[in-house]
Amino acid sequence: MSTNNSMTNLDIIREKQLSGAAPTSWRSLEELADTPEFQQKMREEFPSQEEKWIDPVTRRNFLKVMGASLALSGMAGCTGFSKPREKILPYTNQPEQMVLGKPLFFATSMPFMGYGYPVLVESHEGRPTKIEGNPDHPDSKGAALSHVQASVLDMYDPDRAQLVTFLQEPRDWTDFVAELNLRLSELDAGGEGLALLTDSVTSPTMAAIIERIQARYPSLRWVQYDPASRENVREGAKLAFGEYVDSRYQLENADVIVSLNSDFMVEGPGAVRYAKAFSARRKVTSAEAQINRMYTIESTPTNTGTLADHRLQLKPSLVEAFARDLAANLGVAAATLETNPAPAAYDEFLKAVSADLKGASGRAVVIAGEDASPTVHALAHAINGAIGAVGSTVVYMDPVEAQPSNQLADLRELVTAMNAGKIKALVVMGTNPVYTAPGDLNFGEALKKVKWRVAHSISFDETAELCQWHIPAPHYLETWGDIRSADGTVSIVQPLIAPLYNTVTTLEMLQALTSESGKTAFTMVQEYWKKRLGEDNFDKAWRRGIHDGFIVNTSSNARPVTAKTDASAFPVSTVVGSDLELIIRLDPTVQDGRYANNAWLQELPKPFSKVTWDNAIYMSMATARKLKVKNEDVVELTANGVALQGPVFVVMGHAADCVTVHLGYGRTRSGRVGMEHEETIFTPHGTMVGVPSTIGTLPRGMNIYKLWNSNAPRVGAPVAIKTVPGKTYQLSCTQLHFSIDHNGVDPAKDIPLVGKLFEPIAQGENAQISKRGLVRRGTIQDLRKFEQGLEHQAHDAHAVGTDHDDHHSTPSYAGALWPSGHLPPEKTDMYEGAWDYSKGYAWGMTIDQSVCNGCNACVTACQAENNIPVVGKKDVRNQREMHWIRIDQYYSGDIDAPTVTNQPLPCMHCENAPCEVVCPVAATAHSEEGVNEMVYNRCVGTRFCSNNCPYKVRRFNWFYYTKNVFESPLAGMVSNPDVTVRSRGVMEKCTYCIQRINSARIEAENDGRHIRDGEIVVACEATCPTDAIVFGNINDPGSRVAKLKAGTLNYGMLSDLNTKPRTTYLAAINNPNSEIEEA
Amino acid sequence: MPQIFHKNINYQVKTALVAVLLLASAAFSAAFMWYQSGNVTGEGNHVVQPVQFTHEHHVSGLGLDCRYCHFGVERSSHATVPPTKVCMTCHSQMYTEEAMLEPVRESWKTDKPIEWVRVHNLSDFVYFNHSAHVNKGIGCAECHGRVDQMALMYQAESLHMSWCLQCHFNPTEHVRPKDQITNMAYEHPTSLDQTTEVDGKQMTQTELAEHYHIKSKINCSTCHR
Repeated sequence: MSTNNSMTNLDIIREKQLSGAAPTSWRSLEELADTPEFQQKMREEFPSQEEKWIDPVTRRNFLKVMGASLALSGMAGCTGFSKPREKILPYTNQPEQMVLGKPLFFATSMPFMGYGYPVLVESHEGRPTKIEGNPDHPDSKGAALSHVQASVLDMYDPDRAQLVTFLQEPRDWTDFVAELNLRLSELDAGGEGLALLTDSVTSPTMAAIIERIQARYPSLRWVQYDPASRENVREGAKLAFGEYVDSRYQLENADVIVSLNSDFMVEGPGAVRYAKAFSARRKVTSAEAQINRMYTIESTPTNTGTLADHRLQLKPSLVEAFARDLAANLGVAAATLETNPAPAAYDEFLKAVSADLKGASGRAVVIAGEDASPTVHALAHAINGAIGAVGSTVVYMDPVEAQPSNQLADLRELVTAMNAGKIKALVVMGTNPVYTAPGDLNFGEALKKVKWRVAHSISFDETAELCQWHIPAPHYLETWGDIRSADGTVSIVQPLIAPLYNTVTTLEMLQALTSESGKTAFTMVQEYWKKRLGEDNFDKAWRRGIHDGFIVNTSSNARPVTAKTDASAFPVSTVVGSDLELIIRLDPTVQDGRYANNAWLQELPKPFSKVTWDNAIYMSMATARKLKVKNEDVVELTANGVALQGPVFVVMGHAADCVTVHLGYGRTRSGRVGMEHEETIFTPHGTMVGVPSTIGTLPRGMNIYKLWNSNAPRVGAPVAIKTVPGKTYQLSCTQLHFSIDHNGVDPAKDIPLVGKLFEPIAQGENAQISKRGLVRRGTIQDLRKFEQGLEHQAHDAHAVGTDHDDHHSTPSYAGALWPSGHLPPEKTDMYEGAWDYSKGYAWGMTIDQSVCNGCNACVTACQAENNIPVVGKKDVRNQREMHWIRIDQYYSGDIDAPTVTNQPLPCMHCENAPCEVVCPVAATAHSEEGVNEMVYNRCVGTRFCSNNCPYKVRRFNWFYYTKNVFESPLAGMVSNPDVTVRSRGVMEKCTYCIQRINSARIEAENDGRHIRDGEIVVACEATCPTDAIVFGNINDPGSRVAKLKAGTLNYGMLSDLNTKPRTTYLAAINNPNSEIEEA
Repeated sequence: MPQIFHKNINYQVKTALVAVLLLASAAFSAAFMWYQSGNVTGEGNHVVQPVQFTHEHHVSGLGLDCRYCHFGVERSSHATVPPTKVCMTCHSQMYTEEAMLEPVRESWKTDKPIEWVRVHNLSDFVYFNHSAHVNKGIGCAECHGRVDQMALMYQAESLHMSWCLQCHFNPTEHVRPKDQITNMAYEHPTSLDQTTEVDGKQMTQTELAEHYHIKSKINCSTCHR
């Protein structure tokens, strides 16, 4: 949480920086300044400054209420009769493949901005509960990002539209069809004045139906629109090739990767594929491993950028200048961009990148991101052509979209036509332009000029509000359809549940515009594929497609294109010469705003800022100092002639002279999560806890769409900032929460937060592994040196202290929680007669920091798997968020351009668990397999355990956060039946997905065998796009986790306390270029 | 100053104190016994069902195996309460006019489930798994009692945690050969030396437990997650 004196913090940091006294590693600005307030906060389990009680209850009132409720609870306990009788409702005719109590998994695909994200959905007795990636699909390989996993919650959203409405009055679908036909008959034969506005279309069936509509109404105006996603990608390709072409990167072949404002591991439809391929080439399996090298040139810090070996922070116009210079260095004729002076590192960086790209002989690639301008994209294509990347690291293919178009230009034309009164009937499907269109288009006003307007969407949104008719759309888990993923492979979208409400599928809605009628979505999809696959083998191919989640051999064909080598004609697509540049991006959690009502995504801490439930104006420390603002100060942004007020948030690693704002907030028509209540917005200590039961009236956060001008670049438009003296806005930020007190009991012991993996030994040339640092970093070069040293010293292996056998080592450090000196050597544990964990299974985990990019997928996976409640904005501010796994980001090095290390932190499952000895009721205890267990029904909520946890991984249910699970039939349906739903007053934490361990064990025991390695896949591990998390039996020397734990890179966090953590980390290894100073 | 209380009050107070103590402990014991009784645990209570199904007739009378109806028991945590279709396999032919079976026919016709009343109800934080027990030689009757003698179904045991643990601490004497799982009348050997024939070999209870790799778990997470 930001303290009120961050301004002083910034000054303190500056002073320290100048005097050279700044720490080398830190987690937050507050820690960097290291004020006494920070120290105090770190030592406390929960911040004492915050209000403890939700209502302003006096002590006397409290006692009165307490007395009454105690008496009542006594009464409740004394009913003295057995529990109320429950009902069992068996099937009348149970489906053949169903075994009650065992989940079934179905493959389908989640549509998002037109593209399919292949998923595998877990269904309990017909109730979808959990979404994971489809392991068989090349674009997922089992992983799924946060918003994909959280989409299951949207289906059970009680605020979804449930009825066909006309002027907000309920109607029947048949009423609508009758009126539609009437309106269509009023049009001339060509359908002049009819417009169809959809999101991007990749679905072959949908495209075929739209073709039929176009055949019926040749003058139909079909516009596709998805905000702030792929318009630069598309236009960049057109600039480079003269036509729309999709690129697919093959990072498995890339030794050198240059990313230009690209978050390719998180953003875009192919993100998971790229993350998997990148991490496979990044993992250090041995010192001989040839790992890839990545250079990142970016304005806003990105998850992908945290894994860069070298990172250069440049404002958007300089990114384009850099791309131009790079192209010129690599033999592409490109005009240089005269721009304001570049930072000192620019030239050196440019030289090194150029040399590395040249030297990689085709095994290199330049990737421009969704936030890079079209020209940067075109230059990247030209460079890839020049360095021989095409065919090796990048493949060009036919566009996946059915009809790629310049969406912004089309939308602008449509709005012009609407304003001119040329559009008589408009059908809006799957997109929400009143909210998501750039502010200058003023879509809402234009919409009102259309005589007859219809919106088809899952919830009654801003666009629906301004249309006469609203047709509710089903969630994708309730409908049939088809869609293509990033590489073009077609997935059949299949329903897992009958529609919860009276919804109309997209295909049926489109059918109403054709001359046909009466076909269901299922029939339409089948008919299309019967034609395409042929009648003969259709049944087999169809069944196979449904089962596997995709139809084989449907990926896009490669297209032989060559990028223009003369880039001098590429237009300048940024604004050069402004003091401050504006970057508008999709929000990392709620995306374009479609997930505004998704509580899991709202409460997910956004990477870097760790802000929840809000958006903020991100800027670098230098820019904040220049503007004389601090965190949470409200400032006024003026860009493109529009002014907007919002809070500042200082993000470390942000480029200077530019600010970043995220779309997706400030919705005026959303549900109980997406809207804010007056009391919470004006008095941050209002009464709202958890998910409110009513819909608020105020928008949550700033609406950045208003700031966006369709004629100005989305990234790099000039912006002015004016301070608003005296006005602040409180953000719920988790950056300071659960900071680990790494110095512990001995303040003199100065453990660095981010330690070097190797430290030189005084007498020799060899390095020794550092035993310090919560996070450890090293370079592959140092690792090689170290391993060579090991070989030389093979005869005297003990001379080199390795930390890799933490598990059995006996630290001698006097400050250890359980000093081994006090016990006989064979009993290094605090318990009399230590348990022998060497037999049977011993569960453990490793987390590879070399590949973790901090994308948050594991956090959502854990939340969905373990029924973790949402606490609401206010309680997040009070440090009461419930996530069992959090991602700590550690900064080190240069304060203005730090290196970031991501550290996912679940429970460590210490063998010598400090939490267990302090529990007065033995509600937390160890299993014989080394899992630190929580017994909810035994917990009385003393919170001693969480007070005693050095890793701060325990979470307490301060309030009845799960109330709605029991009270609302819909909210309860998403719960995992294999995990207890916890109530108020109970402690909880990561269980290593004990339900998954148990179910694998029972399965194995029933078959009379042992659990195989890889049979238990815990939720966070399953979904990790970079395979950073590995779980297994450490007693099995052949298991993946045991092998990783035996490696040099393995270390236990704070293992000098002798806690013997079962979760250990692999130090972050990177591959710096020796030509560049820093690393 | 004169004494406020008479001397005898001393004895009265002492007697009252003892009486209160006695009463309190009596009340405590009574409450404890009450809580252990079937009134609270549900043990031994008959339940009124929409169809007065008799296990006695179907099991002892007709000789149906438990798994004919409870077909999920070897594969899943749930034993599975049979779908209406299972009833109708026979009752579409037999007793087709019987008034008692009207709810079954109604369910089959309307595709609405029969609303059975749950007899064995564990708390929501307890995760019992049928397959883990029946595949390790723990018979149905071990927990459910002599279902073949129950005209109306009732809960035979308390289902207290202490009752579960009795067996989890000492599973050996409760194990039986797997082919005897659904045998309601099966009798365990009276002594540990007595052998039973399992898979063609004579085994003592201890050997049988080893043969089935019985490692009964007493970790909290075995049942609570």
